[in-house]
Amino acid sequence: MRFVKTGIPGIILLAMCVISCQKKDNTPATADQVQINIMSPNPGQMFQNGDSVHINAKVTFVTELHGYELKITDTSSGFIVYDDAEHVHDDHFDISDIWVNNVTQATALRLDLTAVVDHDGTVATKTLYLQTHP
Amino acid sequence: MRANFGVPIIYCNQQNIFRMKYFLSCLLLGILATGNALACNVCGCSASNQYLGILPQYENHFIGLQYQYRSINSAHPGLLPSDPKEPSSEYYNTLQVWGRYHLSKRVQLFAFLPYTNNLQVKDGVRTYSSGIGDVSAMATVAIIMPEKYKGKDWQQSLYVGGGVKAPTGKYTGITEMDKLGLPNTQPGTGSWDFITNANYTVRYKQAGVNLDATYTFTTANKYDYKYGNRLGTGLMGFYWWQKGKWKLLPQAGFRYEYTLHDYDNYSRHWLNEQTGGSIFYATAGAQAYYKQWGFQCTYSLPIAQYYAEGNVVTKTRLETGFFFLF
Repeated sequence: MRFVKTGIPGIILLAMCVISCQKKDNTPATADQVQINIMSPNPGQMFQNGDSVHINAKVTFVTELHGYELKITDTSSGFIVYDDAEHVHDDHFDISDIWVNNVTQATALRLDLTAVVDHDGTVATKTLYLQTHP
Repeated sequence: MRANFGVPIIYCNQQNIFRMKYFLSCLLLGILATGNALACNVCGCSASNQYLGILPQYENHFIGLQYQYRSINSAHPGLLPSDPKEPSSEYYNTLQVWGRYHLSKRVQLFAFLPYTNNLQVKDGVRTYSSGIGDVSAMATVAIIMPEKYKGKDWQQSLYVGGGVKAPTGKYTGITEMDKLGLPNTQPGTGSWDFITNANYTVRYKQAGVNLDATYTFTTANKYDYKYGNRLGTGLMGFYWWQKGKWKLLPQAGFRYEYTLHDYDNYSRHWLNEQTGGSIFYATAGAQAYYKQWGFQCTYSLPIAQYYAEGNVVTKTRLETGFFFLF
């Protein structure tokens, strides 16, 4: 009976302690600490219709990122012509995508690479503009 | 006769007992020896929420086949808060061989060998995931021996124990669903987990109460993903009826389960606060026995729950099975 009186409350207390304690990475993290380096394409680079656009980029952060979105928008129509969203958890992403240019008119394209810092909407974005010609 | 929790002792011939002891010993050894042999392999959600609850006759060994069914509705959050959620449904079917073997009057061994066949339906696409799950084995020790109370109006028993869950089930790495705190439909978790259990039963004449608590300490798998530790408790009332060789044990009560957050990367303490949660069930069922055979069925209905920031809603849970006592 001694076990019932002391053991069971002890087990419950221990379980409550274990439940309440979870280690967490408390590294202070803000969006301006995200490093986004787009190696290719170069800003202002011209592409013909049918060209392969090689997108190489590196994203690094001091702690966990929750994913990234790589998006190319036709600035004249507003249409998104390429979109790659990846929900991956890491402190760095090495991105290597290929998009075949299917835009048939001369226009500027906007490339946005967005790193997602948390699920509350905190993001860091790097933008560059490209040119396309039919 | 009232000395037993559950049903009276059933006598079998010695040859039968020897055969069954040999068979169960081989099964237990086989399960324990499986170890990493099938390596690879949750859930958090698929990860077994194994518990003992009201067990058949404490004096006997048994081997049984159990079927568990659970269905869940999930909403997959987008990458950004503005992205729409994508709904899906998950159906978990587990068929498991389990058994109990008495090493001595005080010590009992349990083993569980599950086979899962899970289904996810998303955008009309059905994705099946099936295979052998994570096997587990545990030993319990009688702190309060039920035999001491044999023949008395008031009876009680207390068993405490521990065990291990081995990563024998198929697991191909962390999924997007893991990261979102959504149910993982893979048969295993890829981790070694450690189980502790306490099981207390008190009975006055034919009526009794069983209190069961299980705490599972999880470890990180080879991807450094760690499913949250889990607490499962149950409080069940039961009544024992006997008519000739038939025995019936209706039972009803509550279950509460609490799961901690997962870690996306345990060594770096990346806590995933979209995971974990709790659920409170109302449970009703019955056990029936005829000679050496037993049958059980339990239905659980969630009364309150909050999992994965509300993105996971458990619908219902059914457990049924039979066992052979020897």
